[in-house]
Amino acid sequence: MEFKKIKGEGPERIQIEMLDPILAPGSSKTAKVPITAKPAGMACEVEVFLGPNETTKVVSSGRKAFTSTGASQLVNCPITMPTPPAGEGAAYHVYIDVYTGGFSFLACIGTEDVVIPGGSIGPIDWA
Amino acid sequence: MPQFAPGEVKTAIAPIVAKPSGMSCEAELFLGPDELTKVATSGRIPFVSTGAAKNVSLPIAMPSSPGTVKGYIDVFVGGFRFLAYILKEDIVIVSPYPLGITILGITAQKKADGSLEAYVKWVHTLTNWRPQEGAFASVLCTPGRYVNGVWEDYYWVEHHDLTPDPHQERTTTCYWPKEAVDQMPSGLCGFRAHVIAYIAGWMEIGRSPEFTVEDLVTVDGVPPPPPPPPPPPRTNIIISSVSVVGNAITVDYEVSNRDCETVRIEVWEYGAYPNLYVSGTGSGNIGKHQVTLTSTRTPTVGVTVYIFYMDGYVNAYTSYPLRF
Repeated sequence: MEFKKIKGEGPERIQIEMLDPILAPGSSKTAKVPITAKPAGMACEVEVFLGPNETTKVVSSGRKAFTSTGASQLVNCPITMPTPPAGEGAAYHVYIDVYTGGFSFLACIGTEDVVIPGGSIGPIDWA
Repeated sequence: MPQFAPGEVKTAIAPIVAKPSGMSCEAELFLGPDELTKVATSGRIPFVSTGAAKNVSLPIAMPSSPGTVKGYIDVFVGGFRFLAYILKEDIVIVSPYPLGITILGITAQKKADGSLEAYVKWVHTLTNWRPQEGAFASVLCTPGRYVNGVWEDYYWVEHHDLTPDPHQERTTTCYWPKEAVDQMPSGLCGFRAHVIAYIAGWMEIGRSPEFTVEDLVTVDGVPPPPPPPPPPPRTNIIISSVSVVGNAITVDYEVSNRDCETVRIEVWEYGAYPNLYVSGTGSGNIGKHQVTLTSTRTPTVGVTVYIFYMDGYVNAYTSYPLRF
């Protein structure tokens, strides 16, 4: 999954691999986020959340603390996938916010959505 | 319930709603007794979700054996199943050869030689039958019992092939030799049987419901007698000592635990059977006894004293060797 910066002073674009954007409802996953935060030694926090927009957090990892190294470092963000209503499926944007000193200095959005499939099957006919 | 012929190819049109739209999905229809046992399947049929109902065609060949199977539809995306449905109505695979099998009854008896026979009386009403198709029927009869309210079979099964003859009442004899009966656990109380009919190519075309009966076993028509009482303890005779003075041979012995009927004492030359020195009788009552027998010659090497007695069942003996 590829991420693009939507605000802040961080790098122009962050690349994140995400092997399977189609996930089961309610499943527990861990996003492994490679974050480059400069300068080194800052007490930072990162939050991954899914939602239709950046103000509506359907599910969130909460803020996970880490200390910047000035280079790319993997930060684990465990998160439980949303459960759409029965018979419904949905696609959710993926947002990553990185904080230090209480303010967000990196805000990224995934270029691919997480898909939680759903649906139904009606009565079948035989031909 | 939908009914199809064995092996018939049909296509199920399934309206599938998969959300969100644009997903590369696969749908599979399969038939079986449960969702882990696929006896027929459409394979995975790909389609792209539209977010609304979309008719997906799932062609499938019906199972080759008559009977009832359940239908399942699974829908996958990205390799994982996100929809799993079971059809509300089972699918009936109907034989082109209408067959009715009825078991009319079972009787049984345990023979005096320990073997067991069960007689299954049954009839079928087969139509569309063509003898050249090599049809036959099997009768499976299984001894069993109830254990805590649950029927437990002994897995002794007898198969009997019969060329079906419509509308004729038949009796099949099932036989278990004594060796087989001896291996059955105790508590046998009845039998369960069913009849299966086959047609050319060994395709099963029908089977009867299981027929269960209890309390059937008799011995040649008479209920088995109670087991005999355990035998009484055998007589215990011990020769406590033997002494030889000249040609007089003195035997001390003791009868314990029960009287015996006869006691015969024989003194033989040691190591030179059957050279008998002398014989006589003694008391068979409980207690210690001494008997002195006088031979016509004096033993030189030694003697072996035997006491033979009847303990009520068999002849028995005890012996005492004495070497000089």
